[in-house]
Amino acid sequence: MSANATAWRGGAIALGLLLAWRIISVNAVLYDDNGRPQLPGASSARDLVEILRTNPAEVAALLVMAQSREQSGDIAGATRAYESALQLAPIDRDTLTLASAFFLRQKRVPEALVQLDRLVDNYGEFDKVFPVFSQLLAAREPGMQAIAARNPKWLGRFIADGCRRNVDPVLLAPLLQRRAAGGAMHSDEVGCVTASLRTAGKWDVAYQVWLNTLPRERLADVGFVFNGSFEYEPSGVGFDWRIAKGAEREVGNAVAFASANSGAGKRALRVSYTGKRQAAAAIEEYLAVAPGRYELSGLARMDQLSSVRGLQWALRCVAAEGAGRTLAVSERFLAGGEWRPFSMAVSIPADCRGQVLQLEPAGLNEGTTYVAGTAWFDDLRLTRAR
Amino acid sequence: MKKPLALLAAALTLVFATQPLAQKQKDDETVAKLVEVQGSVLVSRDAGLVSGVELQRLLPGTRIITTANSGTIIEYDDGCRVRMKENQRFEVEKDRDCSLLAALPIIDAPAAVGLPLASILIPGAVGAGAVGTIVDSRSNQTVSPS
Repeated sequence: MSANATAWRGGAIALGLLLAWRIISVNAVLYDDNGRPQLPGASSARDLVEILRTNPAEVAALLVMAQSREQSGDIAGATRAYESALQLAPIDRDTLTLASAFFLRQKRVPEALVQLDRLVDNYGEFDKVFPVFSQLLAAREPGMQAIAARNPKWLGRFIADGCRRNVDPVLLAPLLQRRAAGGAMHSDEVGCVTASLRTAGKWDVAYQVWLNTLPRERLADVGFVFNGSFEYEPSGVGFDWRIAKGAEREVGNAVAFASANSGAGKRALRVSYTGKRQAAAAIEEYLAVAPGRYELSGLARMDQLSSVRGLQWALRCVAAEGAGRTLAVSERFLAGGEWRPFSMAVSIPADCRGQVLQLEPAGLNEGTTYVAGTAWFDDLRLTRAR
Repeated sequence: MKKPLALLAAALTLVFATQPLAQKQKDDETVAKLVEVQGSVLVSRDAGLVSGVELQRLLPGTRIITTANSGTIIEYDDGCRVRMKENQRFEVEKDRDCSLLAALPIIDAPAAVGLPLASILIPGAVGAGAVGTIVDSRSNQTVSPS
């Protein structure tokens, strides 16, 4: 293990110690004014021994004895006391809390993780234990292996929590894979991890993670533009369509994948504009298309679409901080008419690993833009040019 | 005179009709095929990724992606075989030495540097095992990409 990894692990353990100490909320064991643990009726080690002699299964006495021995430097004695307590009460909250904290302090991380795992399994304590797990995951702590391999029911919650805490998404991706293999992942996990991977510039990993979350039948025809036929409801995560968030009265449009007679499938994209000011794309999809020359084509039908500059499809390269340079824009759609085909040439440069395809009012940056009426699109596809 | 000609025509028709499909396909620009396809293996086509099928012929430049719990072998017409495990990517190349062909792991960050956590999180994706094994049937040996 490199010095850097060792330092990481040491730092993680130190943080784990700190956090683990904070999760202590012992009911059976009380603390005196000086913060020293005490048990009602026990003022000395002799009292504790007497309590245990009367009732050897008095876990609270064992815990106090363990802490007392640790403070006096008798680590072996403390270990024996904690192990006895764990044997007597393997899923007692206080026992698990104190024992895991002790093992962390002793840098016996695998043993600590076993107790923390039980603690989370039985009592939640997510907001207190997950930061410890996150640090240990970042430190590549081997003890996390067994937990992840077990795929506990809280693993998804941990992934989502870690993602929100900016844990390296590359570390979370394998956990999500394990969840996906069991078919138990939630869209917030997938959405957060794939978004974080995209932001980190790990487009290939993001795409792969997302692919692995799709049901097998959806893998039959992924295309470059996923669900360009609009036959399936958008998931809003990964590399599927994302609809602008907010109520219709706020965003000024309503997006639906509605029944249509375009001749391409049963449904099509319908965007109904209320006439209000438009501030962003109504719908978008991230792409991870390899560099090269392509043609974006589709079918369009406008229904009394009223706007100064019309609507357009735009494909942009995505920089780390958001949408970057524009790679191509379609013709502008206005007024009305029947279904008709449209297309545009697209060239994706070698340094553009991720893209976003957006339906937006033309000239959003040129001034206030109002749009009314309905726009329909269908059979949107990106095809490699020969 | 008509009868021998008719027989010849029938024989030629039979010869062309029964010509092995693979031989016909070798006449196009494809250089390899998918074999031993397991699970969902995606193949890039002009309009994007689609599911790959057994014995599917592959053009140079085609990208192959294996999803979770999937795998396949890219079998070149010259006998070179590249084994892909789950979550790997490979691009079909033409006229390249078999020992230089390798599938790349996609979800690889912890495993690629041999860290123990990922070795359990991604079964079978540790170190050299994370790279598609090349089974070079020309020499009947397994060749390390490195």
